This record gives sequence, C-alpha cells and structure tokens, in this order.
Amino acid sequence: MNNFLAKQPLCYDPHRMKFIYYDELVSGQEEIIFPDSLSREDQKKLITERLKKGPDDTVQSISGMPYTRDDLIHAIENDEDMGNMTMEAELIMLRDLLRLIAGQRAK
Amino acid sequence: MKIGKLNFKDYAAKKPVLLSPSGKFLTIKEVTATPKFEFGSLHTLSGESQAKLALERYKLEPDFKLGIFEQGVMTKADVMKHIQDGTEFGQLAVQVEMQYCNELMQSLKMTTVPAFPKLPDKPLPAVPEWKQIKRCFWFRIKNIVLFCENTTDAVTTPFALYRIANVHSVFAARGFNIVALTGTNVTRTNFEATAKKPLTVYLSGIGHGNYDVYTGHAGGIILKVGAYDPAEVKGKAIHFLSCRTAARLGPDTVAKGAKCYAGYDENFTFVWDNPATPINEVDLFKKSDSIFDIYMANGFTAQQAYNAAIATFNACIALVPGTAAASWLSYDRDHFRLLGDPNTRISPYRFVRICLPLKTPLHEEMLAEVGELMD
Repeated sequence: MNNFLAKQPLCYDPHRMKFIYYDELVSGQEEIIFPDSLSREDQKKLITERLKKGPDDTVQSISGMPYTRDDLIHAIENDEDMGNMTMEAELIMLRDLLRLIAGQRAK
Repeated sequence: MKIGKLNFKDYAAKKPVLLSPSGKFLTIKEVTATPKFEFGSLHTLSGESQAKLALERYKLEPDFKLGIFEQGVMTKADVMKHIQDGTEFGQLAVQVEMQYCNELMQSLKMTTVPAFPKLPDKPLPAVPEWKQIKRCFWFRIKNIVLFCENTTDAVTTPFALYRIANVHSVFAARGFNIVALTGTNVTRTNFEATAKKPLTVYLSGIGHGNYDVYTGHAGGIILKVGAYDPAEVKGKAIHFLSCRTAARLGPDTVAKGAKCYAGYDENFTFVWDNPATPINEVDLFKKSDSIFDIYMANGFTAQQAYNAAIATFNACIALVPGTAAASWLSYDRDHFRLLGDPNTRISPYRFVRICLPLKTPLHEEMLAEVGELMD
C-alpha cells in the first residue's frame, strides 16, 4: 500500500459532511458510498480533498500543458476541461477501487 | 571503255588520276601502261598539286548537283569555286578526290569486280522466342513496419525513446523491416512514401494529435481526415499513441481501408515520475500502451493485443492503488479504442507468386531491374 492511500479519502458522506478513508472501509467501520450516488458538487469536494491530501504530482496530456496539484484543483473548481478530465479519471479509479474493497469485505 | 576489269564512261576515262613528277596529268589508261605509277599515293602531293588535279577532274565532269545535308545543293561550279578558294568544303572535296583516285588505281589490280551482296530471297525468320514455360515461383519477402516517433518534443520524446528501445526491437527481432522516422524526419513526405508501399503492414508511433489529425515534427501533419491518399492506410494495421485520434481519424482510416486502428478517443494523460515514490509512474503509461504493439509484432490478433493492453493498464493500476497515476491509467484505459477488424494480424513475411510467362512489357522491365542483365 502506498503512503497516500490511507491519507486520501475514498468516499464522502454528504449527510455528515465526512470524508471516509481506506482503513475505515476495510475495517467495516464505515459503509462504502460509491461516488455515482453523489451530486456533482459533492463529487468535486471528494476529488478536491483527495488531491489536497495527495502528493504534488505533475499530470500532463501528450498534447497539453503540465498541471501541478494546485493547477488541477483550480481546474476542477472552475469547471475547466482538464478539471472535468481529472474528475472523470478519479471517479473511474474510485469505482474500481471501491469494488475491490467491497469484494474483500464480502469475503 | 574497258580498263582492267572496269567499264569507264568516256569522260571518266579522260579524267586524270595522277600528276606525274613533271606536272603532267595522267589518265587511268596511262597509269595502267606505266606500272610504277600504281604504287603512288596522291596524299603525298602538295596541297596545291592536289587542288590542281581535283580541279582538272571536276572540269571534265559533266555538270551535277551535289546535295549536302544541312548545307543545301552545290553545282559543279560551286564545288570548283570552293576548291579554288581553299574553303573547308573545298579542302574536303580535294581530299575525297585524292582518296578515290588512290583506290581507283589500286582497283586496277583486282581480278574481279566488286559485286553487290546477295540479298536474302525471303526475309530471315525472326529469332525464335525461348520456349515459354508455364511455371510459378514463390518468394518470401519481408513486410515493413513504419514508425513515426516524435523525438523533437519534450512531452513525446521520453515515450518515443521507450518505444524505440522496447517496441522497435521486438519488431526487428521478429524479422520485420523497420522504417523508423525520428527527429526532423517525421514529415508527411517521408511518411507517405513508405506508408503507400504494399509491403508496409503496420503504422505506429507517438505524436501530438487531435480528433482528426496525427502530427509529427514541429506539428507537421502526418495523417489528417480528408487530406491523405487511402493507399497510405489501406490494408494496414495502425496504432498511434496520441491524443484523441481514435475519435475521428481512426474511424476515417478504417473507412478508407485500414484493417484496424487502435488509439485514444480523448487526451492520453499521464503522471510524470514522482521521485518520492518507489515506482516510476510515467513508465507505467509507456508500458501499458506499448504492449499493444508488442502483441501485434508477435502475431496476435488486434483484439488479443487490445485485451493485453487493457490487462497491462489494470496491472499497472494495481501497483499504485488510489494514486493519481492509478486515476489517469484508468482514464487512458477507458479511452483506448480498437476500431476495425479485431481479427487483424500482421506477419513479418509475405509470399509473392510470380508466374511465367510474364504478361506485360512492364513486368519484364521490373524483372530486369531486380535481376542482372546479360546479353
């Protein structure tokens, strides 16, 4: 497990306004809330929080400019193309990862 | 008048053929009567004497018209004037007369008169063709793989260098002929020349792109919807590591006859290596994409190559769970598209059948080009 997996939230509970982390999910302390059930604004909150807690990676499209962590957060908050792409990438990954965790918990 | 074996016209018999040492003109009959003169050569006479003899001969000749290519017609008087004036033609006329007189004096010793060669009664039969053998030969020839790797751009270069080391080498080891356009050579002109060749079976590379275009050095267009000859893609398998080309360019190439097209319908996005992590993130992206090429090189179908690429994306994602690299690997995986025939395969070799006899002169010319000509 990488260092940041525990530090970055994987779910968000809008009712409690609570970010949910890997350890809480694996231990069964918290229920899995798939991001598809969230509003777009709540999805943004989750992804933005993940970026803030994660490493300062540099992301770039082959035919695009490089984006730092702060650039990506800004792009998400302003609904820029790169922000929407980041949302899509994060949501795809979270769906897959949460399915894996759900599978482990079922065992 | 018959002298020796030759029949002379009267005026011709009267024309001098020699100038004696005393300056007297001698006719052919007088020369015949004096054998010692037969061994003389008029070319040993002085130019003045030669001209004098030639003029005397022309004087006794009936008027004539001498036709000369490019110069027109000359009468006897014209020729004599040239001789008198010592012009270039006049000197030539003297030389011709001296040479003829020499040969005439020599010919008096002939025992036979030269005869016309006998012409064949019937046209000679044409040289018979070699017996035409109906037979076919099979040749095994190498197929070509054309790579367009953009190595003049900071973003594409790391991917291009990885592909050159890890993809091109696989194709070469399998026996393909490799044409790798790199640097400033990644131009449309160079691409088109090789892409059109019937032996080119696979087009690949990394470069900038958009929905309808794949580019090379300095943004130069390599393939653009509506701006290429279908022969450049017809019958080929294509995979470009580039942004968005699978959205419009890919389908267009398939519509124009490409067997298959693998690429991304949105931006191919990656995470640069973060030195703080044990894994080189960007290498995961390079590896995931290039597995498609490696599978194609090894003879798998396009569908199998696509599946292998998806599996590699997933394996790489599992190495970095929950990270930005995992997110973008997932994104690229989900935007990777295989268009066209999923059963497409490429082979390092193809067989060409040449059947004899050749049917057209063009085929004979082509054969002459590849072989060694001998008379």
